[in-house]
Amino acid sequence: MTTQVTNFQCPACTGPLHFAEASGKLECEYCGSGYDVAEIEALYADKEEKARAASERETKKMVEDATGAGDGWTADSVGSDWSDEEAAGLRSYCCPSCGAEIICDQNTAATSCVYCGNSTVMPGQLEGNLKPDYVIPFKLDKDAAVKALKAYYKGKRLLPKEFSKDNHINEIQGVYVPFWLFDGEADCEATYDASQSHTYTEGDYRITETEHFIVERRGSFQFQRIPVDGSSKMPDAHMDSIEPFDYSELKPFSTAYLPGYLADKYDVDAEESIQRAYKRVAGSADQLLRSTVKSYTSVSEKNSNVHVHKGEVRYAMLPVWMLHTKWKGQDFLFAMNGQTGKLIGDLPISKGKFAAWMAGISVPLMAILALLFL
Amino acid sequence: MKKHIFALGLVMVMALGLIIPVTAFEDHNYLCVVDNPRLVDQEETVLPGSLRGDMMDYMLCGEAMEEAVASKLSDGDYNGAFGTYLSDYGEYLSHYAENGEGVVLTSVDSEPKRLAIVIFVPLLIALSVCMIFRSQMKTARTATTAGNYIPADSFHLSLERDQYTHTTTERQKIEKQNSDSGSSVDSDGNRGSKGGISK
Repeated sequence: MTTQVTNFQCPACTGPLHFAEASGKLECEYCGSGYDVAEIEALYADKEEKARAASERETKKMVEDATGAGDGWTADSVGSDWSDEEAAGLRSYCCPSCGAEIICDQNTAATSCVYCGNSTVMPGQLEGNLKPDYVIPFKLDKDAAVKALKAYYKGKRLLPKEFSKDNHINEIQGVYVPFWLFDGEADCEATYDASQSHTYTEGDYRITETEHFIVERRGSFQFQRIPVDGSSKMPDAHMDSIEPFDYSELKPFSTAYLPGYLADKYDVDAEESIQRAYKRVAGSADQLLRSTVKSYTSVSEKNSNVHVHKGEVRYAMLPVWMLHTKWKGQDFLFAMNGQTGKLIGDLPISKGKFAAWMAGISVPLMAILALLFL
Repeated sequence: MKKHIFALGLVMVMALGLIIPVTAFEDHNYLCVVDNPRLVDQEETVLPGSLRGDMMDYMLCGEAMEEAVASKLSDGDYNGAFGTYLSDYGEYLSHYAENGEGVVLTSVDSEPKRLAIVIFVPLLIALSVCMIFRSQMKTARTATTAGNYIPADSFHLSLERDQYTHTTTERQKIEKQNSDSGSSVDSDGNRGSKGGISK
C-alpha cells in the first residue's frame, strides 16, 4: 500500500527544496530561491490535507479493484510472500516527483527518493501523539562533517596509516534522531565512613591519631531535559558522547526542517528510555553528595539511595551526522553533533605502532638509566 | 595535545622522583668492604678498620653528604645531585683501589634491584604513554552522569550530619640505624561524639 508523502517543492520553479544549514531557510537548488520555514509550512498545510484525503480514496479503490479482479497474467509463482513480521516492518510510498515506489522501514519519517534524489517527508509518521515537540535544525553541513572526521584522525598516534590514507567514507547521512528529554526532581541520600588523621612525634615514636566519623548527607536537585535517544538503530554510547546540544536553539517542530535529511520516529518509548536517564541521575546524585563531604583524609561510601520524581517528558528531533566506513572488513561508525560539531567514534589501533611507541620510549630510557645506575 | 604532553612529563617526573630516592637514599647498601665485609651507609659515623681518612668521612658522614648532594636535592636538582654523587664517588673508589688500602665495591645485592628499575620503570612509562594514546582512539562512551542538565543552583542539602564514632592511635617507633622498630594500634572505642549539624 502506498501512503501519502510530501516533496517540498519550490513555489517558483517546482525544484526540490532542502533545508540550508547556513541560512536556516528552505532553499531551491535550481533557481536559488529561499523561503522561511513558516512560509512553506503554511503553503503545504493545505496540500497535505488534500493529499491525505486522496490517499484514503485510493486505498478504498484498491480494495474494490482487488475484489473484482478478472483473468490475466498470474504472478502467483513470482518471488515469495512477505511474512507478516516483515510486512509489518515495511512501508511503501509513492514519490510525488517521479512516481517511483520508495520502500523503507516503518519508522522512517524523512528520506530521499533513490531514483530522482528528491527529499521526501512522510508527515503522517510524525503526527498526533507521535509529533515531536521540538526540533534543533542542522547548523553544520556535510562538508563540515567530512572536515571534522579528517581533523579527528589527526594526532591519533596509534591510527594505522592505511586507514586514514585509503579510507573513503562509505556513507554520510544527516539524521534527525528522535530524543526524549526528561525533566524531574531527585531526592538523594548517602552514608559514608570517613576518617581524619594527624601525625605528630612524641619521643622516639611517630604517633598517628585517626578520628572516625559516620557522615550522612541528604539533598535534592532538579534536572532538566536529560536527552535519551528513542531509536534502537542508534548506538547509545555514540548518542551520549555527542552531547550536549544547545537547547536555546530548540524550535517548535515542523516537518519543513526535514527535507534533505533522514528522520525516524522513535521505536523505544519514553517508559523504556527513562531507565537510562535514571542511571545518569543516580550517578550525578552520588557526585553531588560526595562533593559535600570535605576535610577528611579518607571517605568511603556505605550506602546511597536516590528517589526520582518524574516531571515532563518532551519529544525532540536532534541533528546528527552519521559517518560510516569499512576497513579490513570491520565497520567504523562516527557521529557528529549537527549543531555543535562534536565528533566521536572508535578508531582501529595499529599493533605495530603500539609496539613501536613502547620500544621507542622504553629503550632510550633504559639506555639512559643503565648508564646512570649500572 | 598540551594535555598529553603534560601527562607524559608528569609520568617522567614521577618516575625520576621514584628512581632517585629508591636507588640513592632508601637503599643504604652503598658500600661493601671486601676485607671487612659489611654494609655501611651515609648515616654511619664509625668507620671499618681499613677504611679511614677524608674520603670515607666524605662518603659516610651525614653532614658532608648533605653539603655536597643533599643541598642539590633540596633544590629539586635530582640529576645534578646524583651526577655529583656518582662523579665524586667514582674518583674516590679509583683512588683507593690504586692505593690498595681496601677495595670498595658497590653492594652485590643491590644490583638486581637496580637492574629491575632500569628495565621496568621505562616499560611503565612507555605503557602509560601508550595507554594515553589508546584512550584517544575510543571516544564513544555511555554517559553515567547528567551534570549538564542539573541547574547550578538547584542542589540543596537537607541533612548534613558528621557523627564522630571513635579514635584509633597508631604508635610507630622512629627507625634508627641498627635499632629495632615496631608499631602498635590503640583504639579508644566509642568515646563520644562531635559534629551533628542538622539543617
